[in-house]
Amino acid sequence: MYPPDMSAAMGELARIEPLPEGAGLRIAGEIDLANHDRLRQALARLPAGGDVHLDLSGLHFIDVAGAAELVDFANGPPPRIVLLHSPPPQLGRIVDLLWPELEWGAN
Amino acid sequence: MTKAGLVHHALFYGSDYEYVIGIENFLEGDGYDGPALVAVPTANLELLRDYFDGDSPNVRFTDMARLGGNPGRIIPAVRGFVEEHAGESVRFVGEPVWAGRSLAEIDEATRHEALLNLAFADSGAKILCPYDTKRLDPDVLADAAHTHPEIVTRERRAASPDFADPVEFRDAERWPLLARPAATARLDFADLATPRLLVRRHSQTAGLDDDRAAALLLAANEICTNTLQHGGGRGTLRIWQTATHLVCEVHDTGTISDPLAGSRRPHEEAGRGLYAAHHLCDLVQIRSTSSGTTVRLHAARRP
Repeated sequence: MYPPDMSAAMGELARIEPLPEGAGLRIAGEIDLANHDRLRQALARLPAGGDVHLDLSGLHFIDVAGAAELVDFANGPPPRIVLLHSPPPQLGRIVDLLWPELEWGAN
Repeated sequence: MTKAGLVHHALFYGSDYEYVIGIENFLEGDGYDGPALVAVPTANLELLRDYFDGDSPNVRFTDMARLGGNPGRIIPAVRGFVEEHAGESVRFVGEPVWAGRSLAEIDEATRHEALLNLAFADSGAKILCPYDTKRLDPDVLADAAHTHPEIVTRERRAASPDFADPVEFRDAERWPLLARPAATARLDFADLATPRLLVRRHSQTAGLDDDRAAALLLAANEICTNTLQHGGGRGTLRIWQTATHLVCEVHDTGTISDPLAGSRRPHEEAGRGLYAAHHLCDLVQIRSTSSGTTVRLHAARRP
């Protein structure tokens, strides 16, 4: 469930990389207070318009404020359709708890 | 419709008969047939469901062992019900204290009872809280007289002479946490990744299922985040096992001054962590004074 990651030992908990052709981001590792700003900036740099894909298959942890960054991004402005690929189960739990009115699904 | 004040009665019952008739009078008194939420422990839920037998369409019955397993989840649930019926007066039967609960759970349920007086002060709601006088400890009943402005018994309804100011009653100094075991895992932290390592390690050795382990990890991370942001930037995490639970305790030098912190569904960033923790853990205990805050998170080892 938790493969320790050497990048964590180097102070780099999360890797946030653009997907090819500006389709979205691959977010891996652990999102917490130390990298919310980096996540917000990476989302803000995505091209305007179109659906956004987030590959979360390598995401081992995301906290409540990290989930809030994703929700705020999807809510806009402008509102975006955000497709989550392989999100960790805890993300669904956070969203259901804090944003129960949000419509969301996962690929 | 005027919406002022709060009715908050304790029902002291000594038999099924007194229980059923006390709740019936409360739910249907004055010809009321508006919305009501009834949250009572499993056995009593069956008794009431059989008695009312589906002929009270505006009454929603739910199991308090689930809704209020952690008493910190009750106020948000009742608030949700009040908001759902905005403009109407609502009635709530809540039985968070029952024989057989652990001491820590009864402490939190009792402090929750005091908090109800603040949370719904101007809601116009009517709340009835049943107490089983045959099976509950006399100290527990004495506390119910401190937390309820009025007490209903088979014979009469009367003001409680012992009703106490809810804020003073809940004062952290008056509710010491149970002593920690002599040996606990301990970590002084100023980041979040290290606390998460410790929580993961102990969740595994305590045999938490994946769901609870993930929930505890998330809750502990939120509480430690509060420490970094509002609690002086560093804190102490301790972890230990009991026969039934894995317990994580976070201590820092911050102060939580709002007694209702964590009991509102937050619409912005502040308060999300405590609110989430209440919904992720089987019990959350918060003790905050001017010199520091201690939060204990309990996760059941065998649900």
